[in-house]
Amino acid sequence: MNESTTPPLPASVDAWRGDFMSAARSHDARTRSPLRRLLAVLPVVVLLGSAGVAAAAIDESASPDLPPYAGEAHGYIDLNTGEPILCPDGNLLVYTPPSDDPIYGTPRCSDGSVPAAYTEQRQELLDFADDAGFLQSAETGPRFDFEVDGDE
Amino acid sequence: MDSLARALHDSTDDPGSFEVIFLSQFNPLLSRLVRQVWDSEIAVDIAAETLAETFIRRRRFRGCTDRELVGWINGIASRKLALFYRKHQVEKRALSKLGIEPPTLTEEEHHEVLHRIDEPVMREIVRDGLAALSETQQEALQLRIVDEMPYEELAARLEITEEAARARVARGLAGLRRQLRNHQPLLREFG
Repeated sequence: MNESTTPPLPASVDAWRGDFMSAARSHDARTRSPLRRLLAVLPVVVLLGSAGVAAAAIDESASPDLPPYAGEAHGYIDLNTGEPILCPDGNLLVYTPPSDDPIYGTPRCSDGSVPAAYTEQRQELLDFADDAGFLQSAETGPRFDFEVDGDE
Repeated sequence: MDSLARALHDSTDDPGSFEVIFLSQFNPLLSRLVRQVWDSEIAVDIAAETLAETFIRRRRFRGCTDRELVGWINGIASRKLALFYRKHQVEKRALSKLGIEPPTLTEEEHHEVLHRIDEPVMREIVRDGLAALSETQQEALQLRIVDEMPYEELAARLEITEEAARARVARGLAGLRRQLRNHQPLLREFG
């Protein structure tokens, strides 16, 4: 079935849309408060100051569920634990793919090592891309990168 | 700038603009997800969580085309899906931030959503995958996916709690997904 023949939205979901939009407006109003906006900046400051502390900041205040863009600093989630992948020294594993180069390089820790969780999950993603067919398109594969930044 | 991408950018200042995204994306997401998890309730929960996350993170979207927007939303959905398979439960963090529960479908709607994957070839492949699972997982998936039994009834039948029933189905789905990786050439043939 392709999207052009997708059945109509279930009535229960359509009714829930009102609740969703009402909750969305309330959330928006809450996040616009001056104090909230000030607090939202703090994790970014912490990130810039210390990658090690940043891992905790991401875990506690920013969801690692964002598809990142090239040119941004990428962090990586361990899909087995839901926690960010860290280097042996406790710092967050990060990498900034160049926006003008389609080749995605390998992120390395300061000692040159590559955490096993990254290597294994990267291989799973490559295997998935090779196998992607009827059930899943490549873009719905087990990606595990997220943008290392944070508002909200 | 394309219309949906524009609506998402506009929703930064006017949250009401997000309704256009909801109306255009929930149903395609639901159809795509139910073909990946074979469970209407799980698919609805992930679709709802994905749109909640999309709303919360809308300021981060940098694209200007609808194609980029759909890809971005699919990326969020894929992360939610991956976490579901790893943790055997749907993460509802974004919904929690909004302060709402996911929608509850009627039994009739559950059947309608499940029938979006009602293709004979798919059923045969799923049946093959089921045969490779443990008996308890087979039974749980047979009752839930094939017989379309509500979780409450399924739990009573298996004499376990509803929470345990959901966990058993989720673990079975993760096992089924691994089994079906072996069918990719066949699936591709029918794709």
